[in-house]
Amino acid sequence: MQSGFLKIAGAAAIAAGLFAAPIGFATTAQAQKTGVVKIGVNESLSGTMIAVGLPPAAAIRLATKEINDAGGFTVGDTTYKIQLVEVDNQSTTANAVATTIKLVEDEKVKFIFGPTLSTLAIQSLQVTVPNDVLQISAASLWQSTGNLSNPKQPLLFGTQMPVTQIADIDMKALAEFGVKKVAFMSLDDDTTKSNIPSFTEAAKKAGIEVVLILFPQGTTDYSSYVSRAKGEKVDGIYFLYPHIVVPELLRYVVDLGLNPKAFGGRSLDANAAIKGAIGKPIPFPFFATGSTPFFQNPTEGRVKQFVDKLTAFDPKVAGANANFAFFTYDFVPMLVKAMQQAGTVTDTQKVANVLYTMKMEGVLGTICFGKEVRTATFDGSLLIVRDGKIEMKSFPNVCN
Amino acid sequence: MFAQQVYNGVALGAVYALIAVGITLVYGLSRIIHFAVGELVMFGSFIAWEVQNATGSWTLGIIAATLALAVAGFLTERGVFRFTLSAPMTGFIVSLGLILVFQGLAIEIWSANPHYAQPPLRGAWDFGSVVVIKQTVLNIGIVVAMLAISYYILMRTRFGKALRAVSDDSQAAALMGIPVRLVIMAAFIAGSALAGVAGWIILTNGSITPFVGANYLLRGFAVALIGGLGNIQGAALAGLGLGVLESLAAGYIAPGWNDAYVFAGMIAILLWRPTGLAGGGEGAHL
Repeated sequence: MQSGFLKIAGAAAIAAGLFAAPIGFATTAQAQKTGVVKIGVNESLSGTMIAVGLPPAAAIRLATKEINDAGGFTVGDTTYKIQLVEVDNQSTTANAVATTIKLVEDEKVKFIFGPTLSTLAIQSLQVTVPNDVLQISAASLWQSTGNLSNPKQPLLFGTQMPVTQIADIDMKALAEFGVKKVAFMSLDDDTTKSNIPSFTEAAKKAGIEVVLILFPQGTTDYSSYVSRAKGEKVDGIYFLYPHIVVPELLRYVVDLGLNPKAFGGRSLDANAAIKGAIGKPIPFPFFATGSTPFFQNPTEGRVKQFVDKLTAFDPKVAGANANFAFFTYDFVPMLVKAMQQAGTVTDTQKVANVLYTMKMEGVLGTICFGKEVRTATFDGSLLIVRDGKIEMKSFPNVCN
Repeated sequence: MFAQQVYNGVALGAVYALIAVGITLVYGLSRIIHFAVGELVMFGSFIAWEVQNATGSWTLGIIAATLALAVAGFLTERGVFRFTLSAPMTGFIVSLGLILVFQGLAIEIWSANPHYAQPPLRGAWDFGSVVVIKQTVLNIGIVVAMLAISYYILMRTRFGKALRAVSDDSQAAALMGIPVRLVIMAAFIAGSALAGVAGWIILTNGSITPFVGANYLLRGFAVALIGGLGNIQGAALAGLGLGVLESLAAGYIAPGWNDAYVFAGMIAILLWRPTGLAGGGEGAHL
């Protein structure tokens, strides 16, 4: 009798277990449905432009870590974590294409950050556009060649402020300093050439004559170029890039006795004008248009906090190129929010539709894109150094 | 402005000449086209920066760069190039590999970010149409001294005679009792030490990165070829010529084509005189 009872009880328990198990499993699965969203990072992690590629890549890693450490993000009934798929384009166009193909075809990535370097980004989009991949880059060449306003390329987003807006601010600043004839100095490449029309147009509006002085890749001695500017009797210098040469360029301007009414450019390192170039303040006004905050001179609390966080996270992020970190950090959570609002992590057009109109508060201030021109705008500023002292002027944020 | 650009060109060309002499020394003795010499120059710059930064002394900087690069020359010859002496083409390929190794090492040690130091001499002398930056005078002086010492050693000492003998015919030199391997090692040490000095000068000109050497490498080779491989005076003259050409291009015409001017000039000269401008002359041949 006892034995029969045990058999029945045992069978009942097993049966209950068998029925209960699927129910329990289903309940657990519903609460813990998880997934992974792959985000590609295509940057110059080696090669000659590694200094440009490292800061934005590090900022993406930090933003991703913060999102994942907070538990990821939820879209519908699924909690996702970001899986970064990093590829090194080695700073060459051929590799930039190959690495984009790897991300798109092998890794099936639908969202890509980079390349930051314009000449590489312009090649990379040849792969992303036909594959409906949403690509985000600071490449200024995307703006100037019309990629960001081309309705046939609706998934490309630029994280650099509109060049025309910066050019207007820069040329007005030069005019305020009384400059009548400016030497536009920059590296002789496609990025520079694509920027020239905006600046010459803005200079014309501001009543400033422009003398173009472009120098080749690999220039290490700027005396001949500064001498040329002096020979042209310019009274102002506008420097586009590369930013790393600003200290020696300023030194040559001082040593060769050019004495301009102003020396300025986009996101230039103010430390060079304060002390870095000649060990004391340069003897003429210096200005830098803040198309991003200044990594090396953070003035606002939120920017300083980010700078401290990123340098602790990756001490290699330093120097004038560290500003490139701003071109990615805020855009990772912005992309995540757009996925949440769009309710999808796969339909890139739906995500893009949200990005066109959304606003977000980040380290850069209020950030927004447009639909016709998919270029990010955010809080900007003009930094002026006179006699070693910094003055800041902010310019209007068109998102507000 | 013309005189200013000519002076700027002389200052620029002096560095090319110095690097070219180092290339010429190594090639003359070993027949190895040592392409990693640009990276040695880069190391010289970084060592000078490191020492200058730590001690505040530019004098210690140039001494350290020179000595450290001499040691690097010894190590690369003993560790790598001596195994390729019988096949100079292999040595050339090895030197290409060394470029990437050295660049990677430099990125690891100093990062890819630029390093900058204010030069020891500040200011300039204004002569009206020409402004002479004081530092460039010191740099030109150092180059002239280095070239003069190299010339003296090569032409006036027993060691120089041994170098020239090995360069002319290493087998005959060996039969005469000259320690050929030792002489070749000395050429690597001297060539690398000159690269160290050039690195110091480049640091006084502006920012340095692990990629700075590449900018000087091709010009150094162009100068060595134009001047005639193995010819010190030829290298000096070709270096100055190239510097002035570049500077005038920067001042008057499209500088973006500077590389094209340089190498078109080199091709034209080599077609005209395959052994270089001073290749067949009475110069200080190795």
